[in-house]
Amino acid sequence: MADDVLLRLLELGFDEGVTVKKLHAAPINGDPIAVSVGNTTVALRRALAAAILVA
Amino acid sequence: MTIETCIQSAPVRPATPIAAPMVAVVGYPNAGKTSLFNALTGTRQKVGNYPGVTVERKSGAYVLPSGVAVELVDLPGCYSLTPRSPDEAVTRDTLLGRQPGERTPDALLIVADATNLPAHLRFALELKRLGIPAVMALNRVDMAARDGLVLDASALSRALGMPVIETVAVRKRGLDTLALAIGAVLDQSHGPALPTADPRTLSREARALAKSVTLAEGEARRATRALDRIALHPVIGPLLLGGILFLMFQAVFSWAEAPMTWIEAGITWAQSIAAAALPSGFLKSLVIDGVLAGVGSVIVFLPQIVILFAFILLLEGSGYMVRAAFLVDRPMARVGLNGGAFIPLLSSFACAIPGIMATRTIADPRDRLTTILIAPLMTCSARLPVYAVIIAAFIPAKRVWGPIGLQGLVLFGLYTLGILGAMTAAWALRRTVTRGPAPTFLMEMPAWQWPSLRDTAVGLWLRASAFLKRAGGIIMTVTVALWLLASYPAPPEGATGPAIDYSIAGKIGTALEPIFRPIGFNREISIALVPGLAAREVAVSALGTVYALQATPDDAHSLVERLRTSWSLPTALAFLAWFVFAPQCLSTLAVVRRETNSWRWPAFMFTYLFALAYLFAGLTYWTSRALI
Repeated sequence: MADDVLLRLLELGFDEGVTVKKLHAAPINGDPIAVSVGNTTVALRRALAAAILVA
Repeated sequence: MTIETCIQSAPVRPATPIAAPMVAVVGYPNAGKTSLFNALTGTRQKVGNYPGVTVERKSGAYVLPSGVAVELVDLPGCYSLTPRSPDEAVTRDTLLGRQPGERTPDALLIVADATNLPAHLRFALELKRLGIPAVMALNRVDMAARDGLVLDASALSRALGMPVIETVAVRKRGLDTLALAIGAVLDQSHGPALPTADPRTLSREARALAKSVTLAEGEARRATRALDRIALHPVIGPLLLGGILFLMFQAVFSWAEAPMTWIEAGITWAQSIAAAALPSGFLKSLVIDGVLAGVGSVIVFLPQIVILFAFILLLEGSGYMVRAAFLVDRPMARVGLNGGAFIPLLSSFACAIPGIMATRTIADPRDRLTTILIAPLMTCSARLPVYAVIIAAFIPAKRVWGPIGLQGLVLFGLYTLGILGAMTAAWALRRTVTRGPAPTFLMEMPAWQWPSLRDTAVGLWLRASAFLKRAGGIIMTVTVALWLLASYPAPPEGATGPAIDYSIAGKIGTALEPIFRPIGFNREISIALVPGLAAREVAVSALGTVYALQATPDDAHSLVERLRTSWSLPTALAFLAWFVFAPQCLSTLAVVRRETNSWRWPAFMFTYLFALAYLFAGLTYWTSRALI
C-alpha cells in the first residue's frame, strides 16, 4: 500500500484495535463498499479494503 | 469538497493597507468550516487567488465585539498537514508561514465536528503543535445531541489548552461566545512550534482524548445510517440518482425558460433605447451589435447556471454528492476514473470552467488531468442554444411515444453522445497520455444534514457574480473584437454582396472553408465558427449576423427559417455532431492552461477535440448523405 493511502486511512480513523463494520455495497459487483470506522463512514474499493487487516 | 466559482477575481495583494489580524479557519473538509465562515462574514467575502497557484483564497472582514476588525481566511479543508492536492498544500504552507504573498495567521479557528470527534481531534492536535494561538469551534453540537452524544467541552478545553466553543454554524449558534474567545487569543503570543508527530501516535492520542471527554456515547449517526440504507440501496440508490439528475436537467431547461425570455426582452429594450439615443455610425453599431448583442447572448444563460448551481450546492450541502460518487465509482473505474470525478463532470454540464476548477479536489495528478481533458465533452449549457436552433430548424416536432417527442430525443441523444465520447476518451487517455497506476477511491461520507439556506445563497451569489464579471470582462472584450472583425473593413461603395464578405471575419471564413467543405460545412458556417471560438453560443448569434447581414432589408425570415432553406439536412446533422466535440471555447482553454500550468495540455486538448469533432461531423455528413 502506498504511503499516502496508508496515511489517509489513518487520518480517516483506521488503526489497530478500531472496530470496522461493512455498511453498504455499491450496486455493480458490490464495489466500492461503505464501512463504519468509529463514528465515520468511509467509502473505499474492495481491493483497498482487502489490504486492511481485520482481526 | 467544494465546487469552485466560475472565474476568479484579481490575485491577492500581498500587503493589505490596514493590517487587520488574520484568523485562519482550518479543519476537515466536512467539518462545517465554510458554513461557519459564511455565518461570520455573510456576503462580505472576497474571493481571490493565491499567486502562482490556482487555489481560491476566500477571505472576509469580521468585527469582534471589542471593535477590532479581523481578516478571516477560509483555508481549503484538509485532513492533515501532509498535502495531497494543490489546495491542501496552500493550507499547509499558509499555516507554516511559507505561502508566497500570504501572512502567517495570527490565530487559528479550528473547526471540529462534534459527531466525529476522534478524527477531527487528530488534526486539531497536529495543528496545536504549530504554536499558533487557537480557538476550537466544536461544531454540529445539535446533531451530536440528537444522537444522544454528550461531550464535556470544558474538559476538552483544559486538555487541549485552548478555548473550545460549542457552535451550530448553520443556525448561527455560539457565534458571540466564539468571537469573544477569538478576541482573547489574539492577545496571546505564538508559542514554539513542536516537531511533527507520528500520525499513528496522534490518532491514538486523539482517540484517548475523545473518549475521556465523552460523557454519553449515544447512537452514532442514527439518522444518517437510516438515510444511507435508502440512498445507497443497490436498487433504490441508482433509481434515486437517476431521478435526481433527471429533475435537475428538467429544471435547468424548463424553469429557466421564463427568466431567459425576460432577459432577452430586457436586452432588446436596451438596444431600442440605445438606437433612439445614439446617432447613426460607429458608436451606435458598437453599442447595439457589439456590446449589447454580445453580452446579452451570454447573460441569457444566467438563469440556467443559477438553477444548476442551486442543485449542485443543495446536493453538496446535504451530503448527497459523496453518495452519488459512491454509486458511480464502479462504472467510472471501468474507464480509469474514480467516483471523485463525478462532481467536476456534473458541474461541466453547466460550464466546463467551474467543472475544471472543481478537479482541484482530485488528489492524483493523472486522474485530475484525465478529468480536465474530458470535461469539455460534457454538454455545457452554452451548446444548448446551438442545439436548440438546429433542432428547431431541422428535426420535425412529432411525437414518438406518449409525451416523448423526436426533438427531445435528438437532444437527449446529443447529451448521451457527449457522455459516451467522454468515457471513450478517458479510456483511451488512460492507456496513452495519462497512463499510470489507477488511483483508488477513498472518501469520507459526511453525515446527512439539511442544506443551509444561507450557505446555498452565499454560494449562488458568489457564482452568479463571478459569471457576470466574466460576461462583462473577457466575453465582452472578445465579442467586441469579433464585431470589429465582422464589420471592418466596410464594403466598398456600390458593393453588391453582403457586408460581412468584405470584412476580416469573412476573409478568415473564406480561408477556412476548404478545410470544412469535406464535412459539409458551407462558407457561412466557416465564418460563424470563428466568433464561436469566443464562446460556443456566440456561433448562433454569429450565424444570425451572417445571415442577417446577407439578407435584404425586407427579408424578415427568422434564423430558423433561413437555415431551413439554405442548409441541407446532412449539413445540419454534421453541425450538431461538430458541436458535441468542438473545442471552441477560448475561456475553457485559458482555464486549462492555468490549471495545468502549461500550454501543452490546452494545445493537446484543442487538437484531440478538433480531430474528434472533424471526424464525427464528417462521419455524420457522409453517412446521412448516403442514406438520404
